[in-house]
Amino acid sequence: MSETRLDKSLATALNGHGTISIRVVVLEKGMAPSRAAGKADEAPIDAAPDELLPDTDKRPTSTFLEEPKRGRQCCVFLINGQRQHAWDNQFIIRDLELKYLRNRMIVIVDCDGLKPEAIANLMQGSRHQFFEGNVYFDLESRVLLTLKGDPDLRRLEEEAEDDISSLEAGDEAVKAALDQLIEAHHEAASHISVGENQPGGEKHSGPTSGDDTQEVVVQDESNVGFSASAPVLAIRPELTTIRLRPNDWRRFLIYPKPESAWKTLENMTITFDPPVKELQVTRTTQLVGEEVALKFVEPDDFEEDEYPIETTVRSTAMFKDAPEPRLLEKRVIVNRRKQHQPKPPMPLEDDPTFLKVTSRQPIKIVIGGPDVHVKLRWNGKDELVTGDPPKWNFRVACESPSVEPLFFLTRPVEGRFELLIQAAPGLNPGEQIKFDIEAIGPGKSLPTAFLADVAEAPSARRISSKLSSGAQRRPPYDLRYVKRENWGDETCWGQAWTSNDSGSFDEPTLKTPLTIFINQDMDLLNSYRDSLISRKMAETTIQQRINRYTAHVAFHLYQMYRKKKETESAAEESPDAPSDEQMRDEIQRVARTLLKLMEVSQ
Amino acid sequence: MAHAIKATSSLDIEALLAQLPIAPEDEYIYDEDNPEMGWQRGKFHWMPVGRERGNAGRIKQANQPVNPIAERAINGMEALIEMARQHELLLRPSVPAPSSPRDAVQRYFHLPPLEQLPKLDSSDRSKQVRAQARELARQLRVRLIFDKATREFAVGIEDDGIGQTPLSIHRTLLSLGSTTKADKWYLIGVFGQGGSSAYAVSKYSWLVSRRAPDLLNGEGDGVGWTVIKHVFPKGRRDDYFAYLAASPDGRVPFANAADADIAKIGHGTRFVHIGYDFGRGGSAITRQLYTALNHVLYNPVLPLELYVGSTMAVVYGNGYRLSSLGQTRSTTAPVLDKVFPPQPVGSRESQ
Repeated sequence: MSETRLDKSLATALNGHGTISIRVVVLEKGMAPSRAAGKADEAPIDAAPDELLPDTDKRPTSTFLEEPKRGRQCCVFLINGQRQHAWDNQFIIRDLELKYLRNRMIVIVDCDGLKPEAIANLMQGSRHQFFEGNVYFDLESRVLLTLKGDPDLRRLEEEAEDDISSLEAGDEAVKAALDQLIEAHHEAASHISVGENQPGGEKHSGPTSGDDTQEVVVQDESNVGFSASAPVLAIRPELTTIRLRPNDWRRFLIYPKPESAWKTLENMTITFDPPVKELQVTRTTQLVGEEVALKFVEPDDFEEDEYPIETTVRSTAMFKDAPEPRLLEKRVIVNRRKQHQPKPPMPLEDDPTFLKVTSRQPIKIVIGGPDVHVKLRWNGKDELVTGDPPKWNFRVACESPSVEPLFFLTRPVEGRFELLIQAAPGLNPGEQIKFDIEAIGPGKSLPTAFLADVAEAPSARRISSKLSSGAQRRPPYDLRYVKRENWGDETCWGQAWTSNDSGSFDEPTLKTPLTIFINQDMDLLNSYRDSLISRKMAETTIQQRINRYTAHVAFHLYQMYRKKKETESAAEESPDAPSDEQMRDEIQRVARTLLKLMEVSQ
Repeated sequence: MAHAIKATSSLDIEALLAQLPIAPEDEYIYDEDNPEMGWQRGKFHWMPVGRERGNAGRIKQANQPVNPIAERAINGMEALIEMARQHELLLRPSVPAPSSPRDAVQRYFHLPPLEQLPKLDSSDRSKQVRAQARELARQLRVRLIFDKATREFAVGIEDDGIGQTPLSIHRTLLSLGSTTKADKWYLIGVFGQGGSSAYAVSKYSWLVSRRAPDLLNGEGDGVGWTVIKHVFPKGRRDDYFAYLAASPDGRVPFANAADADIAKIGHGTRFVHIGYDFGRGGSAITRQLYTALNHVLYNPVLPLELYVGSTMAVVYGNGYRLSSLGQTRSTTAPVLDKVFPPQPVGSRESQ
């Protein structure tokens, strides 16, 4: 059994290289100056009145970095407060796997606690960077292991992914692209329509060409994403990650491909690993599959520290004449609402009454993995343990069947603090370690405890992604975005919108121009966004691709309107004039083709 | 000297040097075993910095233009700390030295790490601490000067610290590889080489230094001064950095206390590096220097004032700036600002 007390960890390191202190700061997204060209005199919003300003870009960290481009030196190592070494944001992307925090995150490692001989080993006469020897290796490992498992950073990364999943088409960019398409293809436009098979002309290019796209779509459509022999299990919509908000239902269909195989289903199970007790699951058999609905029911006393909650939904099915089971796995993430109402701050007392673990349990220590951060909370005032001398102390005791891991307590901030546990080598998989934590004050103690399961490092897994709703930006003068919640407000070719519709148009009237509608909640479009996120594409790249898709669909609708008008003007009640139903099918086909092409072209 | 302390361009320095009796650099080859050999009486001579002919390897250490400025600023902080320490010893000779630079700053200037300043409460005590920090910044100044005629930058670093007597400048400010700081854990650098790298990125440098009057230790008051330049000896590959010496033992020219008072030179040290090479960034440095210095001096033990032209800002470091976010209406607090407890470094096996 070993014990630790608040900030007494220095004593544990006397036989190593000494200690380091780590501070991590994540800036608010969009906090940084957004400076347009030609407005170089505008100050960033965090500038003091007398501050001398650098050339900056839009990255939140830009005014804090010596070399903002490429995020250089966003992780600094200090000795006596002076930067002696730095890493760029590749460390955040590759090592911490926090790509969407790369332009908002700054890490400061204070090395003053290292022993003189360790500092002497690191420091070079040039002072340009540390010597990358044994001490450096240990230093690097400690920084990575401390930060990699940090739940706050993970939560922020998940929130950033959420933001991207609802990336909207940028009006100005889409309109610019649409204008360009209309201008560039004016001659070609009339050649592209339902049933037409005329050459589009030399100027015509892009994925809206009827002949080319039709062939690719037909070839690709039944195979993309599935390589196993039929039948296989699939999910509709095509999600890679299922994202849940507290208390909202999320529905999806698990079905076989080909759907006809559903008749030969013998049994299907759905499990969650790890189980999430607050998760409500309903299963409803449909004609060609099973609809699964998930809802995370947030208890009244739920601790937000537990978010994000991650599990895996695993569906296993057996089909007649298919000897092996068919498996479908999807990652499920439950995260708090982005614009949630923060709970009122907990009153902190001079005479605290409780101490509890607020991290999601069971706690898992992965051998060789990053440090485990166990969140704790009490209702004592911070100064009770940070005063000089402190009136209260925390004591941590550990009972381990094998090796006792190192652990440290952070200082409480507004009653919240963490126990960091280092996943030391020597632990055995399957072991269970008991941690007893006690707050000890004048004539009183507040105990709590938890069990930590020791597990082996996971093997390589398929990484997934997410789905979320589409979105809409400010209404353009002739281009409107339609979201799922607005499907009832507008009509699509005179009928209700569905998740298969990509867009429609309303003809101009005396008071309104031609209005083009784009469905931002089309299933395939959402799936496409998911696939981009799962590949960790940059935000700007995702935005560009969504814009490109939107512009091309809008362009095609524009052409369809022109073709319709031409046909109508050529002959009243022309049998060649496309019906609304035909145009609806056509634009769905175009959108599907476009998305498939964009996927393939990646 | 009066001319020297106004020089901010190569033309200024070259005009000054033309007026001085200086032995041509190729007529005096410094020999550390016999420095008087070839010495011409009544003339100044170019003597290798550190009195080491092969000093270029030690001085050419900068890979980024801003680093030497930061090193010089660190030297200035040390001068302020050392003055406080020597004053303490005058009053209480047996008091143990501070254990670290931060310990010294806490003891002598009552300052916490600067990144903690924005987090202090609004009590009078906290206001006093912040005011103290601001006041201390006035004692260390970095100036970026642009000469329009020559289109050159000059960087000046001035401190109101302990300074050096004229007789000791060549053994302290102009030394290389030797140190008077080895047992002083409350100082930052050891060998004093970091600041010397500024010579390599400048066409000329000059310095003046005057010891604090109550810390002369029996030496006479006065101002030592010199000019430093890069020497390329004819027919040789061993370029070196040399300063203007007044005697074969390496002492620098000096002016007496009366002249120093007339020139309004107080105690402390002033380095000016002329023709400073900021690379292809050019004039962008006028906007970038603030950020760059805050980044290199991320959480300095003492603050400083930065003057760019007529604009001034206090450099407290990025640690301070990050802690300041959200403290005013015009800024947004970080979504996360987390400090981990001290973490032991080294594998369990190695412990």
